[in-house]
Amino acid sequence: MPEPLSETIRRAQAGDQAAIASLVAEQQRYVYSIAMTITKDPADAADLTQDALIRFIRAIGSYRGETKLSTWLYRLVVNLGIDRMRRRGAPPIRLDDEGVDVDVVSDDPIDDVAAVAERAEEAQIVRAAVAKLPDAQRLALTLHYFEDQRYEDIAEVMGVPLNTVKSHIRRGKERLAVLLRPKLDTRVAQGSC
Amino acid sequence: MDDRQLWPDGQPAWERDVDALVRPSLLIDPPADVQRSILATVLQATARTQAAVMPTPIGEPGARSIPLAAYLLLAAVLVAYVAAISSLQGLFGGAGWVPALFTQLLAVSERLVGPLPTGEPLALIWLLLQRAPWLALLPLGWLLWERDRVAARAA
Repeated sequence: MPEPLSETIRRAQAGDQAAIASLVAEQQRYVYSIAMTITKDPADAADLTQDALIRFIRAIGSYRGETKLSTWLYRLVVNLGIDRMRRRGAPPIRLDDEGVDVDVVSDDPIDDVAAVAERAEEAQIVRAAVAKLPDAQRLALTLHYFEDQRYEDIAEVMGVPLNTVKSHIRRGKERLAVLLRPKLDTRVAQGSC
Repeated sequence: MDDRQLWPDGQPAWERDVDALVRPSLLIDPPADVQRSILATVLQATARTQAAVMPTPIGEPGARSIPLAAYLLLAAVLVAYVAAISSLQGLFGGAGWVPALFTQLLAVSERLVGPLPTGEPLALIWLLLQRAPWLALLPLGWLLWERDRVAARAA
């Protein structure tokens, strides 16, 4: 995950439009990815991304460097997203528990994923599998895959203890390994040929 | 999960496979038009906020607006000065009091509001009078014309 240069941050705090544009451009995909993880809807994710970035830039003058700027931003996105979903009457997003387990037997994930595979690209298959995970695991994994975000940073963004983050990530990966078994087997077979 | 097959860094093989498959798919770029729209909206919103909190720049020559009080003060000085000079001219019958009046007015205005740009009415009038002194006769011409008009109507 790219942490903005301190010079860029300083210029953005001074109101330099070029620096602000640079910050927005480089952070947009990460913010949008988190927003997609929370809302699961492209239009909602775009709205949330825009709202979060406006608040982020307006508040950047008060940033004093106590934490990484990216961590600060992602926490803002997560909080805004959870608040937005709550106001819409969606089921509450809890980041401190494992959520409802995916029943990998009754859900017949292999057939489900195989069916998706016939009409979708690999990325869509993976996203479909990730969408089956509980909210907390989904968000923890998304942050985890942002270019090796540290567990401590993820814990700060999600506002949960470090061990909870480790548990979310571990269990999320285990479930994905089951859900994506056909795809993983194909890749392993292709790799061994 | 089978954790017995480990990579040299201690990570189980299955986990590495999951990472390799999932990582590229979880980072999602918004569509290009959405990216442009978000960037434009953020810049517009933040620029508006900054403009609202930006203090008004002061001390920039040519960009400063002259307060109304300065104009009123100048007008008061002008009236007093015209009255005093006129009465002196009437007493001693001297000449050239109009250029002296404007010179003094400009000196006073400079002291009050700083050097006047040429767009200021007072400086513009002074420049016009320097280049075409006959313009100073226009008020006199208008007074004579008005007097004749009234006289003709009375007749």
